[in-house]
Amino acid sequence: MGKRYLSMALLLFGGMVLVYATGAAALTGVVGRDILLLALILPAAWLRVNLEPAGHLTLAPAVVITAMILTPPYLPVVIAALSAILSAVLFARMSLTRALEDAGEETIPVVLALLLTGALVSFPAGFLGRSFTQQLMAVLVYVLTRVALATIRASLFDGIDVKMFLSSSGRVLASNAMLLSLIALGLSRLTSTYGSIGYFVLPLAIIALIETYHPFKLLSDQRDVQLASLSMVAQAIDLKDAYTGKHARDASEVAVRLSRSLRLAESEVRKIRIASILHDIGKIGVSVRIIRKPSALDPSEMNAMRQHPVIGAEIMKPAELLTDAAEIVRHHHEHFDGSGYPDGLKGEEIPMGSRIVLVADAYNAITTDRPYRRARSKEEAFRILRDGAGKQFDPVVVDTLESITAFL
Amino acid sequence: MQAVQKLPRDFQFFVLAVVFTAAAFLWLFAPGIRWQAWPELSMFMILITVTSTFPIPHPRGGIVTSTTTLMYVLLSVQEPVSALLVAGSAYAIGHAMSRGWVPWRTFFNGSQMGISVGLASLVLRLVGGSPHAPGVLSFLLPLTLASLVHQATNDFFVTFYFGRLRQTPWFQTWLLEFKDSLSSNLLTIPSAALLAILYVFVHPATLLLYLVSLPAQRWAVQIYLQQRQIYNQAIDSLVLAIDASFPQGAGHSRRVADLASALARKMRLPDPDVEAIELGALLHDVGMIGLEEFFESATQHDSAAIERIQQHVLMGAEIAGELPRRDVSEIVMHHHENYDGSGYPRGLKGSQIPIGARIVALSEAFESMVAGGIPYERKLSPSEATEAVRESSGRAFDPEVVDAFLALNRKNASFGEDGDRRSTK
Repeated sequence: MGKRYLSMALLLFGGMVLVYATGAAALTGVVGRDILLLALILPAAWLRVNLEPAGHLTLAPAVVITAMILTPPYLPVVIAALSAILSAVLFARMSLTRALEDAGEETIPVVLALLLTGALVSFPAGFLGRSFTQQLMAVLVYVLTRVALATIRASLFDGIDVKMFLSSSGRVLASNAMLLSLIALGLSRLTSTYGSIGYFVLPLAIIALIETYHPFKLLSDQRDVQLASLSMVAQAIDLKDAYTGKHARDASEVAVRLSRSLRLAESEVRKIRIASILHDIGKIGVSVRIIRKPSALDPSEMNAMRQHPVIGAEIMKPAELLTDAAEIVRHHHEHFDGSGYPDGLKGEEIPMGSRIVLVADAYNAITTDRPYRRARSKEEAFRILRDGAGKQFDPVVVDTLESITAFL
Repeated sequence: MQAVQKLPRDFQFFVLAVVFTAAAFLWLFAPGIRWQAWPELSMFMILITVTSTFPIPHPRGGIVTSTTTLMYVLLSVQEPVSALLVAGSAYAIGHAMSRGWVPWRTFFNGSQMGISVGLASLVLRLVGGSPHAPGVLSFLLPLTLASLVHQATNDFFVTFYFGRLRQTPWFQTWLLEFKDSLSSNLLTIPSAALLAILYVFVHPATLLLYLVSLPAQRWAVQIYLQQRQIYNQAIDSLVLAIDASFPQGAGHSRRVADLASALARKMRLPDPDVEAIELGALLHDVGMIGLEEFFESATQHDSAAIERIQQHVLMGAEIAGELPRRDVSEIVMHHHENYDGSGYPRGLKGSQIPIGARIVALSEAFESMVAGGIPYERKLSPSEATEAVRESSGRAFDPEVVDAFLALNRKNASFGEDGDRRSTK
């Protein structure tokens, strides 16, 4: 699968860069200026803004490009790699493997830019004294490769459509890298004109950039926290039922993947994510005795149980953020052939989001351990879903689920 | 806003004095204004007016950082008297546009801003700081000093203004205000220094680049505040659900959280930790949801039920583990550990137990004692409960937390006496 190869390639590259950099640093020696640039990695990596639907940005491009223009060619490579690793490990709590992948993704653009301008191998001068046009060229190569890699990664790892990515995260990534690179070009020019003043200004500029970007970091962190709080609410409701742990969160991941493969707009994906986290919120209005009753429900109990999508939608409607997702929750037990509840909708009448949530939830329920039975295999899950396609489930959604098996 | 004539006499006097001082300075030093620099001065005028008309709400409340940054650039690159003129008039215009035109208030605000910026500019020159010689000693430290002067003066005018207006003491408020805005004030210095250096070495128009980023920042902060509110609502509804399945009843989690965060503050823990402890305390019993039948049935002492109840901390920790902060879920997990190692689920001892969990353990126990619930069958009065907490120091509770609790009790007299403080709610 392409996903594994890309991961391996990025990892390998990330590792190789570290070896190259250590050797080069030992060869050329490190001066105070280099240490200042290296020290700036930490604040630059700290400012990590996660983007929707995928990817993240940091201030690393500013330091990388400055280093590319002012120092021997190994330093920008080191900075790109280290900033990616630090940012992933320290500030996003990711595994070292993921960090090395990130390092690969960050360094390839730098190496390519240096290679194409012939600076990578000209030790120790590198980029020093190149014309402004050449600097601009290098920056362009850097930015384009950076965005291209992020796009490939998003499409292979997260199944995000290329066009969709380029019109959302890709655009932000490109403009951020371009903006920071231009700032870096300006700062390096200042340094070559006024000498030490440039180095005095550099840390100030990084701090100023952090201040400017900070609201966006707050916003992106808050988005995570907000989903977390919704999913806590969902799990707490689940406690009334047989507790199934992170079930709600996993099902929502499946639903998100499904929606993206179905090429739904990102605003729709957001709704579906929320709806699938909170789809059983209405159970809060159903008595524990009914929810936990081990034997079959009598008609009046069944009636009460069947109210939970309606109650859920009613709870969500008044909350600003949740209003849009309420409709999806209301219909998440409708069947494709019209045999579901509460409104007995049929086929296309059922909102797309509800059809997705139903399939994702069923798939997740089959493949995870339940108090009353053990988890079953993916293959078995697909067999069950295929049997239900056209009856309970939308056949298109089931087909799509099968086409993204690799991501599940 | 009332007419100024109806306000206290000493307040009227103060407002007039400030306005006259500013006017007098302008009059005396008017020859010092470099009118030939009018393009730069008008650029500052426009920038400050715009930024003070559209303030960026600070994520933690109050404070308009963008205006402050511009003020520091202004006082670095212009003469003190020019700074006074530009800062004062631009701030007054911005203030009038955003909060309405009340002549005496507008004049006062312009004058106080003008004086504090002018004064800071004067201090910068006296200690020899200049952006023409960029360096830590030659510019950064002097600018820091000037910014402190600006902040102290500005805070003084504002707190004294409200102190006289409401006839309340102002000195304590002034100190608090100064301390609160200190960090955000210091954070603006690097940007201000950078902009001043670029202004001098590259071109004054570089300041306009800074302006470009402001609408985006403003947008981000506003959305952030909205989302924060929604998040708080989600937590509130969760707390409601927790309290509903809990015999101590409504408000229990909130009261535990209030006590826990007061204790954490008393123990001088850093702000992010206090925040985590408050959240952990709010959610400490989230695993209890769905356990209500154990409280309803009288046979809660059989071992299976006890095990279920003990399990609530594990489930709770898993749920709280959804949050990106691990310390919150640790608090939920370990809030039934005892200091001597006799608690559950892990039987941790002393400092093995996260500090937040030690604090929440005491807070919850105290709350449950005075509210009367599991495992405390009989309601205790607050003073009896305090005594019980003191006796358990070193066994159930961390002695340090107990000390903080007792100190808090001494300070907060309403805590110890007059029976059940909940009877009023």
